[in-house]
Amino acid sequence: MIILNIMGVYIIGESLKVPKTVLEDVWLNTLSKLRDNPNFNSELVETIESMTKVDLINSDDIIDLLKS
Amino acid sequence: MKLLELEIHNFRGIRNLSIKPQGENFLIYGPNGSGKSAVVDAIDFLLTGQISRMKGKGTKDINLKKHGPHVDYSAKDALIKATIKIHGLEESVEIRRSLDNPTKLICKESIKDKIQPVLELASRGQHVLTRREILNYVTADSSTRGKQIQTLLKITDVEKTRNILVKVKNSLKNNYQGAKSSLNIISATINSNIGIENFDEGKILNFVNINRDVLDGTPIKELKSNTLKEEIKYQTLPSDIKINIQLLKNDLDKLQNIKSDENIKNIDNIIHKLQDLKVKISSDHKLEDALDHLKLTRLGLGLLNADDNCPLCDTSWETRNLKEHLENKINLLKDAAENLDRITDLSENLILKINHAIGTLNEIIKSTEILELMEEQKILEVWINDLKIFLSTLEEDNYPDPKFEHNIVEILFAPVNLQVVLDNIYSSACENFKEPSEEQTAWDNLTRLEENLKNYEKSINDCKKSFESYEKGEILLNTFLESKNSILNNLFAEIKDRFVELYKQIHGIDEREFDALLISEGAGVDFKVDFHGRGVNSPNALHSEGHQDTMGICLYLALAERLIQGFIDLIILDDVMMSVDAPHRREICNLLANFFKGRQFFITTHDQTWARQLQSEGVIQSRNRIEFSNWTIEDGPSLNILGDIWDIIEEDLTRNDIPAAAAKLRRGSEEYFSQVCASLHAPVRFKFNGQYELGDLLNGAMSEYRSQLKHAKSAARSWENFEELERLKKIEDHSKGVFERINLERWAVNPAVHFNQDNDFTLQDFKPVVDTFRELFSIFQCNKCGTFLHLVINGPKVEAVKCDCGNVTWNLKDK
Repeated sequence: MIILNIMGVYIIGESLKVPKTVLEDVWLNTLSKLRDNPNFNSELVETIESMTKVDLINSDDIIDLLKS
Repeated sequence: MKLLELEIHNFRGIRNLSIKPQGENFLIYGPNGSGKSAVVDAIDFLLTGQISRMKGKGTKDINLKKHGPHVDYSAKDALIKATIKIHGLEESVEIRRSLDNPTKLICKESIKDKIQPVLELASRGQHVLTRREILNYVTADSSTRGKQIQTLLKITDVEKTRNILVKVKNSLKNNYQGAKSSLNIISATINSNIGIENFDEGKILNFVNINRDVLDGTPIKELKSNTLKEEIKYQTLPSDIKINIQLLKNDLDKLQNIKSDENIKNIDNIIHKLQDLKVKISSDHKLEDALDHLKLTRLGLGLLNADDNCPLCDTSWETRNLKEHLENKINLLKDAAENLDRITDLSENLILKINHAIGTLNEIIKSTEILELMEEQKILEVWINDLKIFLSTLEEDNYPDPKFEHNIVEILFAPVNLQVVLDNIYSSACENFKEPSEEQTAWDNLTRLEENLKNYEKSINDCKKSFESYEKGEILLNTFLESKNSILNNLFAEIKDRFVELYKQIHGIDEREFDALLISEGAGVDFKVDFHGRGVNSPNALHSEGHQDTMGICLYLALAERLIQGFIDLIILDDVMMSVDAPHRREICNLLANFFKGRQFFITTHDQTWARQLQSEGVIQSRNRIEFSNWTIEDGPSLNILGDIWDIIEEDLTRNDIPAAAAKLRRGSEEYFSQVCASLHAPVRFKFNGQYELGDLLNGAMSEYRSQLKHAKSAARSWENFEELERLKKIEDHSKGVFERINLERWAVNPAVHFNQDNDFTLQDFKPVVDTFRELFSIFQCNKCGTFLHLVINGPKVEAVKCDCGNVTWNLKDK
C-alpha cells in the first residue's frame, strides 16, 4: 500500500522514507540540469553526484575533477 | 517520534535524572545554570551521538568524551536512556546511548530499521530551536541577517556548499587568468624576438621563411613549432654556441628602448591619462553607475542564448527583442562607453608594453644563466617580478593601486643602475662567445622561435583547457544557484503562509494586515515583513525586539512543521522566550496548544511567568512540569515536581516524613495558586519583592472564584436560565464546603514543615490536610482538559469563566 501524505512523504507499507534535505533537493535539481548541459558529459555528472553523497563536497576534489 | 520517558546518568551537569513526559508536552523551569540545557543536550546526544552545542565556532578545545560526562565521572559512566514511541510501531521502544561509545545507539535489533529515519532526521537538528539561534537572529544586522535566518532554518549546509562552489569557480578563474597571462607573455616574447607589435601569424611566418632562406630552406606555409627547421641542412651547426651575441645585442637594444626617455614619456602619458580617467569616474557617481550598467549590459548581451530568458533575472523574452533592448541601452550609455573604451585601450597598451619588457627580459635572463652572472640575474628577476605584479593589477582592473603611484611606475620601467647591469652582461658575453655568422644567427633565430612557439602552443592549449574548466565551474555554480533559489523559494512559499498565519495568531488585531516576503537571494535569504500596511522592511527596521522574537519562533515552527512531519513529533524549544511581553506569550501558548496538535513540545525556560503561562494556558499539564534549582557539582540540580505533587507527597507520607510532605505541599500550593490568581485575575495584596505566601494567594484565589460564581449566577438569573442557575448553585455548594474545610486545615501546613517537639504531626493528623488541598486544587482546574479556569475578557468587559476545552463555562454577561 502506498500512501502519499500531505507533506509529500511516502509511506510504503510500514517503512518510512526520510524526506530529502534541502541540500539534497538542490543537488538533485542541479544534477538533473547538468545532464542536459552539453559541457557536462554523463560520466562527469555521475562523479559529481557521487561526491555529493558524502557530507559536504570538497572544493579541491571538484577543482581536480573539472580540470581533468 | 515522541518521548515517553528519559533517564540521564552522569551527563554534563546532571548526576541522575528521571522524567516521564509520556509523549506529552514537557516543561523544565529553572534559573540559569541549573542544568536545563543539559537535558536538551542529553536528548540531542541520545538521538545524534553528538552534542550540537559542543560543535562549531569556538569549540575547538571541547571534546565530547572529555567534556560530555559529569565532571566527576568518566565517559563509561555517562548514559542516556529513553523510552520512545515511533510511528509505525505499536509498542514503545527503549533506546540507550553511552558517551563511552557515542556512535552506537543501543536498541533491539528488530527496531533498527524503524528508528533509522528518526535518527537521520534528528542529525539534521531541525527539531531543536535554541535561545542562541533566536538571539543571533534578533541581533543580526542587515549584512548577516540572511545568514542568521539560514541558521535558524537549519539550511546553512546549502550556503556552505554555495561558498565551496564559489571558491571552485574563483580558483578555476584564477587558473584561466594565469594561463591567459602566460600566453600574453609568451606572445610578447615572440613579438619582441621578431620585432613586431602584435602577434601576427603572417609576419611570424615571413620571419621564419627569411631565416630559412639564409639556411637554404624552402618556405613553409603553416606556423608550427615542429616544422620551423624542417629540411634545413645546418642542423649540426649551432649547438656549440650557447649565446648568440647578435641576438643578445638585439634584446639589450630593445631593453634600452623600453627604458628610453621617449618610451618612459610615452608610458608616463598613458598612466596620466589612465589615472585622470579613473579620478573622473570615481568623482562622478552618475558616470560610475553608468559604467557599471554598461559593463553589465555588455556582459548580458554576450550571454544571450536560445532559452529566451534574461541572463540576469530569468524573465522570459523574445531573444531578438531583448537583444535590441540591450543594444539600445548601450547606445544610451554613449558617454560611459567612450570612457570605458578609452580605459580599456590605455590599459591594453600598457599591458602590451609590460609584456614586451617581460618577454625581452626572459631572453636576457637565459644569457645571464649561461654566463653565470648571478647578481645580474637576480636583479633582472626582481624586475620581472615587479612588472608581473603591476601587470596583474592592470589585468584585474584594479589600477590605480596605491602600491603603484605614478613615480613608482616610472622607476618600474627604468630601474636604477640598469645600464650597468646590461653593460656587464654584454661585455661578459663578448668575452666568452664569438661574433656569429649570418647562418648561425638565422639558425639561432629559428631555435629561439621554435622553443617559444612550443611554449606558445602549450599555452594556447592550457588556456583552452583552463577556460573550459572555468566555464564548467561557472556553469556548476550558476546551476546550483538556480536550483537553490528554485527549491528554497518553493519551500519558502510553503512556509511563508504558515509563518504569517502563526505570527498573526500571536499578534492578533495589532497586525491584522501583516504579510512577509521570504525569498532566496544571492548569498542569503531576503526576509522582509510588513509594518502595519506601510510597506515591507527588514524585520529589525520597525518592529520591536519582542516582535522579532516571535517572528523567529514562528519562522522556525513553520519550517520545522514542514521538514520533520511524520518522523519526529518532538520539538525542543530551549529557553527561546526573551523579549516577548506577557499578553503575546499567552498567544504563543495558544499557538503551541492549538496549532500543533499531535506535536510534543519539550520546553526549557528560566522565565517564571512564561512557565506559569504555559501551564495556565494548557500547553503543559501540571504533572509534566518540573523545576530545577540549587544546582551543585556533586548532585546536579535539585528537582521540584511542581505540577502533580500528589504522588511524591504520598511517597513522603508513606515514609512518615511529614515535614518533607508539608514542604512540598506548601511550595507546590504557592506555585499552583500563583497560576490560579494569574488566570482568574484575582486581586492579591501587592508585595514589592514579589514573594507571596500561600495565605496571600489562597485568599485571593478563593475570593475571586466566589465573586465570579456569584456573577455567573446573577447572569443566569437575568437570562432566566434556571437550569444553569441550579448547576452553578451545586458548584457553589461544593466549593463552599471545600473552602470551609481548607480554612480549618491550612494552618497546619507551615508548622508541619519543620519538625518541632510541640507540633509533632502524625500521619493521621496530616493526611486529611493533604486530601483537602487536593480537593481544593481540583476546583480551579478542568477535570477534562486540565487547564486552569480563566477569565475571558473582551475590552473592559469580563464575559466568562472558562477552561480551554469548554467543559467549564460560566457566562458572566447579563441579559
